[in-house]
Amino acid sequence: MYSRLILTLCLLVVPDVMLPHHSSPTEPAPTQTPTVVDTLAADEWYLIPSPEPLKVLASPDGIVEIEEDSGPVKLRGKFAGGSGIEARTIDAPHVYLITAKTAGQVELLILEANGHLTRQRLTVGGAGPRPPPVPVPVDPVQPPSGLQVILLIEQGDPVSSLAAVNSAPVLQWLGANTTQVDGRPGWRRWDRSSLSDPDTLATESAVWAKLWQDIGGGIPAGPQLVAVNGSKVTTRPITDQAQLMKDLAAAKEGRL
Amino acid sequence: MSSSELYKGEVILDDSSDIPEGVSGLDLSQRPNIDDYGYGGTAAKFDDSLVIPRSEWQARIQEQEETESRTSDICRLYSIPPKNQGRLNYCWIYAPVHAMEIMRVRAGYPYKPLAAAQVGASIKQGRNVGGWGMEGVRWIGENGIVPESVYGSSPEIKAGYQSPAMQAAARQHKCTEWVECRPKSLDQLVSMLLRGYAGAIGLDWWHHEVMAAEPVWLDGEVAIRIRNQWEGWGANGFGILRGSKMIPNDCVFPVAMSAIKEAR
Repeated sequence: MYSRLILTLCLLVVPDVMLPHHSSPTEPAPTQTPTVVDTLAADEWYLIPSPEPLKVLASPDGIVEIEEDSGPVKLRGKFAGGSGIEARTIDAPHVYLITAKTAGQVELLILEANGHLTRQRLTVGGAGPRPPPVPVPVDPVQPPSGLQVILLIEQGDPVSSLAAVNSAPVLQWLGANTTQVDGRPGWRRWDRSSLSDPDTLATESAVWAKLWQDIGGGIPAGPQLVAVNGSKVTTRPITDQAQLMKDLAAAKEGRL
Repeated sequence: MSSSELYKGEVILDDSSDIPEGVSGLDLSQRPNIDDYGYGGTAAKFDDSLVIPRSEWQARIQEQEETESRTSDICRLYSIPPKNQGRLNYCWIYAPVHAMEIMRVRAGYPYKPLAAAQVGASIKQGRNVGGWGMEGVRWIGENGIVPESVYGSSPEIKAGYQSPAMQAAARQHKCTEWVECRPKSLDQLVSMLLRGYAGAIGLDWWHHEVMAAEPVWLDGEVAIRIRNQWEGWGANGFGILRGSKMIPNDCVFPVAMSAIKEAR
């Protein structure tokens, strides 16, 4: 029945949708005035958890995408009404994830099994990056073993530095000498500008996200080689191909 | 270095060349600002601070060749074949998709062929008609692109190109950060290529869009090596544009490798 419908969506246990008959006698009274979340940015999720199946529609078509999932589920990303990247546990058997497809106004129609209908208008932001659901790892992240390499660059870096990180011998060396993580070679080329976008690491494996969380703040400016060998992290400026190859070889041998 | 070395069988198209015959599909009639930026918010405008002076071009081209950092070197290293648009009028999506495939590899992802035909069919709702770059860039940013391992590699419009399974597979391969160069700006095009990016250029004279791979130096001046998606064309798809034929009417680059979303 609709009174059991719990639409707790936001970080502060503030519902995105306020149903007129919402009640939850076993829960303490909210300590703040709930505000209905009525905007959805391009890179956010709007969540509707429910103990019972719902029929969730959007009118008009094409503004948002609605996906149904089953809970409990842990999600990491941006949430409508939240503040930046968060990890949330949605502890409900039925979870409806609403994401933006294009900018516009849309009305959500939430139909409960007993026929009760809730309407919620949403202002949807323009299209843009939207992270896929990323399960929060349950197991502790293990530090990588062997050699891992990050090539950190920007579009505006010196051309010789960019030629170095693009060169076939360097890529070949990295493929052959780094230790695979999650079935992929143990190296990444990251653009500093895209690292400021939290979506970048949200879509990376837990090992790389943790690695960046641990070391990212201490890396000098400019194009940098970041070599991780066990617990040892070393950085060197990337100047040209010859120097980069020397530094990589030294990192492999533990001499960097 | 006097001139760059050409690949055996490489086609050279200069001002005296006839227009090559083949299936194309570039339609710039919907492009706003024919002489200026036209992608709106779909792609970032080229940052003029990144222009590499013409006085450096010859030396930078030589450096790319010596360090084997050209797009053609990457294609050789990873055995990346040219794409094949077959009878589809989808050059406008095949070219940026090929650039995206190469950017993925440069970022550390394994080479994975992507199904340009699926994107073209989705955008054009199953019709085999022309288009232009922004349509593809916008679609790939919002919806992603299906790997050929899911859609198939043959250049055809298949039933089910927008099935739920296709949509789910596509969402795992998005590229959301692109840079647009101003039409007819050789300086911006060459600067992006010298910075190691491969892009897509639309050429009104050819009514065709191809991937721009790298600059080359020929007879004391710059030329552009392209990769065409016509089966059997050029040297493994590579050819050279010179003179007015290398000036693009539309030009866009996938740029941020980490923006290529890859679900685990």
